[in-house]
Amino acid sequence: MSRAHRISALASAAGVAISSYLLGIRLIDIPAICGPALGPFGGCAKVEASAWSSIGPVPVAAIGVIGSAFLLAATMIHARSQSQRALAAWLFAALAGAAVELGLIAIQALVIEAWCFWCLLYGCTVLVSAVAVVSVARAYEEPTG
Amino acid sequence: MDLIRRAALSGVVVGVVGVIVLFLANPFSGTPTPSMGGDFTPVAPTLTPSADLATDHGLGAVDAPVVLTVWTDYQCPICGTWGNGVEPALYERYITEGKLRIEHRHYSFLGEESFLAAIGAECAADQEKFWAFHSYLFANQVGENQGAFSPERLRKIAEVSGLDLASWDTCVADPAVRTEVEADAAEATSLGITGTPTLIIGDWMQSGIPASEELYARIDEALGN
Repeated sequence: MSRAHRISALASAAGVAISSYLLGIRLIDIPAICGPALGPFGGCAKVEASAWSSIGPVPVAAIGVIGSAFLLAATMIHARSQSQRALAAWLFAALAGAAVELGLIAIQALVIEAWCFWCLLYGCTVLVSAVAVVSVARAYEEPTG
Repeated sequence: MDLIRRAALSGVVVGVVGVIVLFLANPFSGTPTPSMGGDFTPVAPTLTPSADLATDHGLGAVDAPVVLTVWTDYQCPICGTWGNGVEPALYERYITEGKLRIEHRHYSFLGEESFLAAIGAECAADQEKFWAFHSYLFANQVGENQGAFSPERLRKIAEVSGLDLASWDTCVADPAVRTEVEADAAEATSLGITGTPTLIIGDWMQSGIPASEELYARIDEALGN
């Protein structure tokens, strides 16, 4: 397994954990470790209470769990098989996720005007996986021998 | 390589479309749905407290040893969970025992209907019916800024809460009441509150709803148990 694969796998596993935690806060009454103690990044309740925290009835955190689990699976499958299809799936999911995360970060900054530490940390995991997969894809383009 | 390039391009396109869908799904960005019809019958709240325990903006004996101040927005879904689930549990466990009083404060920030609901609640307080109106609001939450707390529906909530409608109508039209609600929000901001619900007991402040056992432990600690 290459360094890029290991980084992406770790980031995606962290993404699954973080998004599961955020989903737990929303669906069951597990405690939210956030608030003023986290300074400018303690606006989790405001972000979670905003209309941006779900698409219709589906919490954004639930989409995060599925997305990061898919990224983790695609990373592991490509690490083992080195197949182009696995790379394509990984690339597709990571770039789609990165675009969405950049949008969500912009919404926190410009619309909600509050930062949620866990949401930002989750966004970083997706962006890290995107950087990793792009580095792997670029290696495919470079001439060998 | 074509497969890789197509995947990369598709990923970016799907991501951008995802962001657009998120924007379109946001009720703030579209035209708010008008009132949900004239046959609205408010859902009764789960908790109907004893009249002597529901005084001013609080629930519980005025001399209760522990005061829990709760800042909420009436449109915030987690506040709905608080009002419909946690408050009734605290009522049974502590308030009826005279150990706890919950003091409600408005932190209205989710849009116009949050303000309308809070103004309605303030006018209910003028008639010593704050808690009834407050409980009906949480029991009748539907989305955000989609008409659930339109003036017409709030008037029906006022009616089932037992308010004198003529006085309530006069009160909600008074701009001074809105100023009070806005001042509450400004005070919340000055306290460093960034979301709802925010719970305060003495020096302890928590944003969001803690686990039941953690909340009970916090109250028990304040009680000296």
